[in-house]
Amino acid sequence: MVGVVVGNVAAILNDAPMLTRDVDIFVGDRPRVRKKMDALAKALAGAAPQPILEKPGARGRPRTYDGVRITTAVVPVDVLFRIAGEMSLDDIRARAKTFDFGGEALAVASLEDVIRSKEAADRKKDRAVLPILRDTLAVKNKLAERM
Amino acid sequence: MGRRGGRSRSEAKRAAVRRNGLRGGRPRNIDLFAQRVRNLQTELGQELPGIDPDDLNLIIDCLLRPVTQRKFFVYPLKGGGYAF
Repeated sequence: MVGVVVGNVAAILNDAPMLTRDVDIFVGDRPRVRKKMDALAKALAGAAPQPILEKPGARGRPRTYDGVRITTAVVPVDVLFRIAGEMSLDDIRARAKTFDFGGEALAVASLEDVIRSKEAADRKKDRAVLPILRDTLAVKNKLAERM
Repeated sequence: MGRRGGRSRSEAKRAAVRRNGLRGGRPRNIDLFAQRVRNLQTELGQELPGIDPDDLNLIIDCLLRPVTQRKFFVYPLKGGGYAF
């Protein structure tokens, strides 16, 4: 299973000054992946996966759940099958940055994709962090221009 | 090998100690880091006037700080309050 870190942890890894309470990992929506959630929970020594519904489907109808939350001793881990903004796993992975995480390569969504997803989700908590994310992107773009 | 007269520091270092008042004559790493943040903030602040200066300071702090030194999570404490 190859996932991409999204959400606020991705924003922090992309230099945004913020904190969070959970980790979001986008894995795409395939039946084979959904079946692996119990095994992942076991590997993380976490509780049984609980369905989470981040946002209704594109046509306004609730679809099957969009991800699962695995509560671990450290932080809750949200494994997402879909994310707001109708972006595919391949799209996000193509623009992701790779970080070394204890010897393992960790794909982290770009700040642009994190912003896009939060704009599309448009919940109160997403709107609250958008200004600092946009400011961070502006600073990074300005620094990139100078290189 | 010591210096003539038993001096343990060069004249340049002794002069630096007098100048900046810091032990050893060299600013601490955290002072150098804070200075780098302030310098970059001064430069970028003029180019990005729409960004709140405090936010800009935090953004630059995060940009310059190694990923391993960043804080990610906020934890609620039993007696109230939060830890990072």
